[in-house]
Amino acid sequence: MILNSKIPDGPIIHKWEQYKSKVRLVSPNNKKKFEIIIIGSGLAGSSAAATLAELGYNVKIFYYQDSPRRAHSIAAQGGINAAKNYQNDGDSIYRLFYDTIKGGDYRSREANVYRLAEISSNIIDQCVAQGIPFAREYNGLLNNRSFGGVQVSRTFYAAGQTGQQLLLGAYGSLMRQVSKGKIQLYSRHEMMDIVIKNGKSVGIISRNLINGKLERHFGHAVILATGGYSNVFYLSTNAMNSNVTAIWQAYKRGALFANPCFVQIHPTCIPISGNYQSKLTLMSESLRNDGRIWVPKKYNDNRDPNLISEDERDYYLERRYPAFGNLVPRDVAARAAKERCDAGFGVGSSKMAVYLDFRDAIIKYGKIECKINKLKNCDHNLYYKLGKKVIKNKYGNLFSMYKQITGVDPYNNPMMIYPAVHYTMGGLWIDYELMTNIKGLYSIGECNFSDHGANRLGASALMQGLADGYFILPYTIGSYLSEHLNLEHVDINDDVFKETELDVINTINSIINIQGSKSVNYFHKKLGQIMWNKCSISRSKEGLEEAIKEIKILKEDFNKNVFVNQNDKNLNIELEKAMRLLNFFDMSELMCKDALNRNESCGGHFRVEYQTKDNEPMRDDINFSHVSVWEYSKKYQSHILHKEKLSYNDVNISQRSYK
Amino acid sequence: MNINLKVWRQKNMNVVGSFVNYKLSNVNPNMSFLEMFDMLNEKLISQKEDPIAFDHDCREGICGACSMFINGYPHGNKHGVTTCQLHMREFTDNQTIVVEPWRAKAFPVIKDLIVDRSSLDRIISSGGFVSLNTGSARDANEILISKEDAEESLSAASCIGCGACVAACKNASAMLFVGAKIYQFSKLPQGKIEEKKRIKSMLKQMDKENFGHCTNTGACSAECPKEISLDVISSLNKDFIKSSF
Amino acid sequence: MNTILNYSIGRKISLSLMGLFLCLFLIIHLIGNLKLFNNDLGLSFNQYSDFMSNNVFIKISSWILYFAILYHTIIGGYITYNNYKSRPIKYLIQKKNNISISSRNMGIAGSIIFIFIVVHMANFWWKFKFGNIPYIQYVRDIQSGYLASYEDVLPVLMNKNGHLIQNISNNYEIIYTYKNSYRVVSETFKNPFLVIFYGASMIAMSLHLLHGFKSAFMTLGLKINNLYGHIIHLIGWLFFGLLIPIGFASIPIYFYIVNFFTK
Repeated sequence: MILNSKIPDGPIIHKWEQYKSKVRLVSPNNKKKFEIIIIGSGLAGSSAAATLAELGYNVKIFYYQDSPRRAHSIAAQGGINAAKNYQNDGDSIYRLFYDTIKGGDYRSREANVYRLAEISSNIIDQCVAQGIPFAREYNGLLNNRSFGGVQVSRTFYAAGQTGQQLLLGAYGSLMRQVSKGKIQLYSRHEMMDIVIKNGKSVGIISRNLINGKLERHFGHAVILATGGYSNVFYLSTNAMNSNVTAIWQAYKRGALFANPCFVQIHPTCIPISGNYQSKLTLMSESLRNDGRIWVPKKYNDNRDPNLISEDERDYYLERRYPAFGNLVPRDVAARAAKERCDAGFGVGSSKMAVYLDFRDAIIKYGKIECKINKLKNCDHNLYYKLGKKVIKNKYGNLFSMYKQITGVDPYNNPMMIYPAVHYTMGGLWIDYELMTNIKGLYSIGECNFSDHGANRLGASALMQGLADGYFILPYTIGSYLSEHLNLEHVDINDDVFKETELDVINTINSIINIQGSKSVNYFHKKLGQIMWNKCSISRSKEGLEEAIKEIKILKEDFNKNVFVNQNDKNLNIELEKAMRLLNFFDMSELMCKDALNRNESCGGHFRVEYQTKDNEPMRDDINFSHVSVWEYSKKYQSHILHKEKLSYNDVNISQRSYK
Repeated sequence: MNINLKVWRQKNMNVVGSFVNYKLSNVNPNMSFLEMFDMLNEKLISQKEDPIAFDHDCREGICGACSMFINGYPHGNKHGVTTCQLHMREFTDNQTIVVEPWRAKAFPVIKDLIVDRSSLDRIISSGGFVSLNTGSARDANEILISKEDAEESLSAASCIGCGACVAACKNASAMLFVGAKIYQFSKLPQGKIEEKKRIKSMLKQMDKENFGHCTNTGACSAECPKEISLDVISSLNKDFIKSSF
Repeated sequence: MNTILNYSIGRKISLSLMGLFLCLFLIIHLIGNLKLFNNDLGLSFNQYSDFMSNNVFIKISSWILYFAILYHTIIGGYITYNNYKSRPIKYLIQKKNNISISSRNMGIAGSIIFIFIVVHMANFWWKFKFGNIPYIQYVRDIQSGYLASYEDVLPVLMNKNGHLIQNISNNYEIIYTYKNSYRVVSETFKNPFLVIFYGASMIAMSLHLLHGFKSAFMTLGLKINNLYGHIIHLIGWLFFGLLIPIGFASIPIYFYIVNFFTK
């Protein structure tokens, strides 16, 4: 198979400009003739739908939620990066490009990342003009803050709800086109399969979740914007219903899957409190600015944290990484926490948590306040009182959220945190035009393998989703459609639609006819445990091989013993979950395979066999500077590996070190 | 802890529903309310019964999908949280908890506790946006907005569209929802330009969707999980009067 | 105007404007009625009531008032009915988290007030206008200022205004001869059931205004969470929720007690 990434020639700074001026366009009259299907209404999907409709295309958008505004982009907290250099701190397109490449541990595609950095500015312009209330300075100008892994302040934010505001902006634009009749909404519809005729994607089979009806929809192009697959792990920071079905079905019909094993684990989440837990909640990365992370020095220490004296505490990040301390990148912090817990030094009832302690920060700020206000008779209690106020101003909402969820007051007790699955860098393989190897099938946002390489920097996911949707896809889609002006409307009664629909019907029937005794969640939890134990923060050959076997056994068990109500003419939530889980089984297997295949440690992917003497990851640029691209072979029901070589002409490759 | 539940069950939109009682034991006080429902559903599935359908997605209080009317309060009797952020430690052992769907003519029940809130989408579609095509924006810093205005705008824009305001209002009025959206834009120069048109068309759509009249009881704001101020409604009234003359 | 009324907000605004107009009327009406308490054998009240039934400006205003009452009732009724319909299936339990009784029961309180208005007008307005009311003649000692009255006089020797002005002697003057509205009031409130009904109606009015006054301002765009809002809230609470209803309710109670003890 030839992987043509279609990267334009020329110097990197001109590639996108030149592409735009040369790409074939579709005339306004012809745009009206095209129908485009979009799956998913998150940042990428909504922004693409709105922009394509503005250009004149007819758009149908499908999402499983009841409203496009509920897509999980809404939960992003921190912010969105843009190389505006409003702070005059030396930021530039190149620097954003470089930071992203380096943050991704040199496993992303240079040209795509540069384009992303270039477009980042336009996104902010667009979003501000849409009426998104970004944080401002007193002079009325936009405010910025800084994020992990970079040395400039380039993150734009709207309190702790940036994702929500950006999504609502895109949603507004989307709804505007709905009122103009250019977009049709299909809420509570889940894409079940993709329809391919003569190597081109021509439509989808969707399921109306309310009445269980399967529907056939034709589209000249199909755009997948369905987000990541972190829910393979059952417990993740993703929404409960986020799933892999759309991209997995595309994969099974011939689309390529790139870097499936690249998963980002976020170090600061609220730990699991019991086996009933359904969902993990993120605590913002910004907390690591003031909080100190520690575990007891004593093995299996069950004492109250406030009774453990200073010299009995192990500030392991400060110990291991004196230069960066508690502010090491996400993957490093996550691994270190797991290492301590695995060694038996974890805290909390589950022993799978570490402390994030604000005691010292509170006292430190208290002392500063005393000095500023020239107070006399300062004692510990006063320091504490004043410092608490400062911390409250900075992180008040996070602290109250923590208290709400755990019932513990983090001002008086250290927070307990543990890493959790957060984002998947892998996804469908795409070329420079965001098109998969199937003609007319596009993948945008988190569900493509995108620009983040092996690790994503904070505040870059929002940027990428919107760049794809607002500014890249609307241009690049013309390249395909302009060649298909005379592409005939494939009738939805065409055989290819009927056959695909039959496949879906068979899958549904096979599930509801099992009539076993166990719930879907039972299996999903088990799958999550396998994946978390063997294919998450650190991975080993043996573990991954075991995992593949265990997944197979679990899937067989599922196929024999799952119980799903046969009532498929009404809303049937168990059936929805079962269909999604079926794809998660296959997905998890591919993830393990890919992890097994990548014999190096890079970014979020850490293989225990490939580490230095002091437990730092060992990247292998000679053998693994490539994108692992997987192809599904229907004939053999197996996965075939292809490689897209990565070359870096505009950055120097270096080893990351945080010591 | 043990919990007695009285939950509204309704097979689909066309049939009449009724309350069904359930008993649940060994509930962990650290569970979220929805996790308690997960537990109940597991129990129902093990008895080969139809699990209770309810809307939920992000489970961190931001998507606005979850929508339960718990013991007489939308999202339960805890200030400023959604159902997914409500924890069982807020309840007492052996308490009877009545769970109902949002009730309003504009929110027909789809199944059990799931209602159709697309009326809110249609209101937004009628004008809850700035008419702007992608790519036509000026540089972001050319529009100056005072810190206070931006913050006030954001406080209204933080609406998650869950519909608790409608559920709480004795008149099933959507004024807080509409007011919040209009208030967000009224504080920003970008939004000022189309304000008159926006107010008229959104209000027209609101009336069309069979929401009730607002009578300023304040129930909406008191129950809003994002604590949106009642002042957005006053402000909408004022802007409506201004836009009429 | 017509287009504004097509909006639910528009109807509410018209409702609140009419409501505020009625609040204004209440103040004037109470100030006038407080003359009943003047210790002058009903002279000032009868004077006032005479003025009210003859002044052209008052006549025009009264028609506006009747319109306002009817409009407020009909639109209020429509809104209440509409609101009732907007939740076809009620909740099994709905708690009233900090939401005042008054704001929840505007329709009920309003209905009671409307019934009250009908009864009240039948009792007084109708009687004053069409009933056979005896005349009363006031005589004053010019030197001492001592006031005396002769009830049930016939209206003789009247001037063009219908008033008899004639000095009886040098020491006394007949000030006026009026229809004895004061007596009608006094007689009416001998009925204890009516007194109770009036008292209950004023409680309803208090409830209606406790929310209504503030809410009207909110409907006209006043933010309730700032200083002006608090002031309006206070005025609404103190005057319209408390003092004005008490002022009105005190009249039937006063007359009932006075009549009771002078029996």
